[in-house]
Amino acid sequence: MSKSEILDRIKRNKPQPSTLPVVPDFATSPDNLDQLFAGALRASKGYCFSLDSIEDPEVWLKRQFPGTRNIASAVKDFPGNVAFEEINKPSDLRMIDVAITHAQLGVAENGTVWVDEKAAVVRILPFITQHLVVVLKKQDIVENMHLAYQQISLSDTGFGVFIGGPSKTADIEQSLVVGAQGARSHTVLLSG
Amino acid sequence: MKQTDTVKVDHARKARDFIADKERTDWHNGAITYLREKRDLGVGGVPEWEDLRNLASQIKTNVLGNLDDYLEEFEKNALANGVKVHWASDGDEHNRIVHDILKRYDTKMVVKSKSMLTEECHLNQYLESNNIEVVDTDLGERIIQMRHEGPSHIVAPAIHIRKEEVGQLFHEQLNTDEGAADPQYLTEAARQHLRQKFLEADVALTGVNFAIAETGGVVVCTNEGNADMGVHMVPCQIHSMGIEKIIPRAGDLGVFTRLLARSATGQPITIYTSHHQKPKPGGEMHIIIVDNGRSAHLGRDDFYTALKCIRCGACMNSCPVYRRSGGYSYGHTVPGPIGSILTPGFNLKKFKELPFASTLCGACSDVCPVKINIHEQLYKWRQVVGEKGELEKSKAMPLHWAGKILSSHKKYQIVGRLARKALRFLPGAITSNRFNPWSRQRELPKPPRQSFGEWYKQQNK
Repeated sequence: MSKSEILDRIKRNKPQPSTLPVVPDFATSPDNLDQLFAGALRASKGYCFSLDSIEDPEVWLKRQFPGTRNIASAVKDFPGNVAFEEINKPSDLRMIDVAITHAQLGVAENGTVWVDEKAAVVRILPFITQHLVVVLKKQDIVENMHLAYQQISLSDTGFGVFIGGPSKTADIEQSLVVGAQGARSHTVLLSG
Repeated sequence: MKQTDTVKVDHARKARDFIADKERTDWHNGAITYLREKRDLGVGGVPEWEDLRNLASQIKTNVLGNLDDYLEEFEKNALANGVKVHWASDGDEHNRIVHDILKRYDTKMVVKSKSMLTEECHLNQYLESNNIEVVDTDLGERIIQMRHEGPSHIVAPAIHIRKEEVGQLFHEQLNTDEGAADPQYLTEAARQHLRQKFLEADVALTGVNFAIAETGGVVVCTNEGNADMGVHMVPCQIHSMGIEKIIPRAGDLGVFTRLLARSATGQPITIYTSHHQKPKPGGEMHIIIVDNGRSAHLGRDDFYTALKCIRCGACMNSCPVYRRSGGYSYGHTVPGPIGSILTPGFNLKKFKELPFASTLCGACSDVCPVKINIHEQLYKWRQVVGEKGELEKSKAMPLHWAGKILSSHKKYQIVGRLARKALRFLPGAITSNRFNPWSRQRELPKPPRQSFGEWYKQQNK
């Protein structure tokens, strides 16, 4: 049994136990969390707009993503034309051009949004879509990752992800290229 | 790790081959230095940076002191989440476990995201010898896989390759235009190629950045989204982790996610920080917990803290030797300063030269986000190599005589006087020859006419 062998070796060899530190939240509570969030997101090549600035979501989508055919939307104000009930397997979503989801949380220090499997509807949606749009309430932005992990409960979800911008790579001579294997663009719409 | 492989990695020789191309050496040095500079910029924006390093170090020290308990807690919670948990003593057992899972899916292909552990276990070679195709899906990993090479850097595996070489490679294997070397164009070609592979796969495998004892889940960090494209597309996902990847609490991720990407590339966080807790509806999720020499390393008082490493690469980006000798000169998946203190524990005969591939400048320890005393361990490994009688003659002989001379005031004075005289008259052919490797790139200094001691005495006459 490898398990008992490994655990026995660890028991024999492990160093003296030490105390686990208490991690403070390092909060400074700035009053411009939405601006900090937008700044961090833009630095990671993401877009950030106010939801209020969008009068007609359908027109906005057409203008923002010209030539779009397939839209999967989990946000009721944004009309999609793909019915989630008809999705039987993840690969059925491979033709999605734009996906629109909610996010439960945003983090000001790095511009990420927390999207769990409930918000994403199908786990692969935020990744397989060509373009991702996420709707986030301004009051759901926290200052840093410590506060973020206080807000979310990992045990209550099967999958969740912090997304900080469009898929990118710098693997070829460190040239930054947006649109590696995941979404080519990442837009957060701030509401409230 | 196989102890039978005792062919010494000759770092100095490989480094000499690397620097023979001066232009390329300068380019490589510049590329790695650029990563370090971005790290410094990213770190500068976090006033509590040193507090975070201290916390990370304390958390990891606590983990290592209670590792068996945390692993059992992790397994219990993962099982409760519906995850299948496997334990592997070494790389071979890990590879067999993966193979058994693949056999059940009757599949001939697996998509894999970046995992230094599977590189260490030589999983690709094992599966390929069993007629299973492994598709590495991280762009850099895919490039080196196409070239039949291993990674030369743990974060940027293809950092040693020029874009023109990638262009030629993709032209031959992915049908891109001949001579095309624009990274944007080449990345798009890889995107199309890899999206097809994701659709064809039944099983996806990833490494693990953090495994949370309290929740039984694993965290995988990528910028490309390739791990998620693989894992969420297929019915069966496998996550391979070393035993040291454990962290106690979900809240500890606040510390580590803030440190990891900033230390690696200067980004505030990776684009995707994915938390896999339970299998997808109707799917299967496996976690393989791998030892492969780690539990033995845990028992080495002077060296066990190397297991705190979170694989950010900051130490190699800061290392003047790594930057000018390249990742391959270390002969192991994890190169650079951290590789040089981990590998001698796995196989001293093979990796005994690596602790000497350092100037002991300490830049590695200064940037390490979990505060491993890397340069001190490099120094201590040198003692071990000497005590075990594994020193090369070219090092052992001069050290033996230096020890004799430096430990005796009288001998030191006599030899000093002789050397000052001799060096003035002996021709360079005798002082700088093949028996003196120190003189290969250096001129001997002009010897002073008298020692400080002699001068001091003169002043007080």
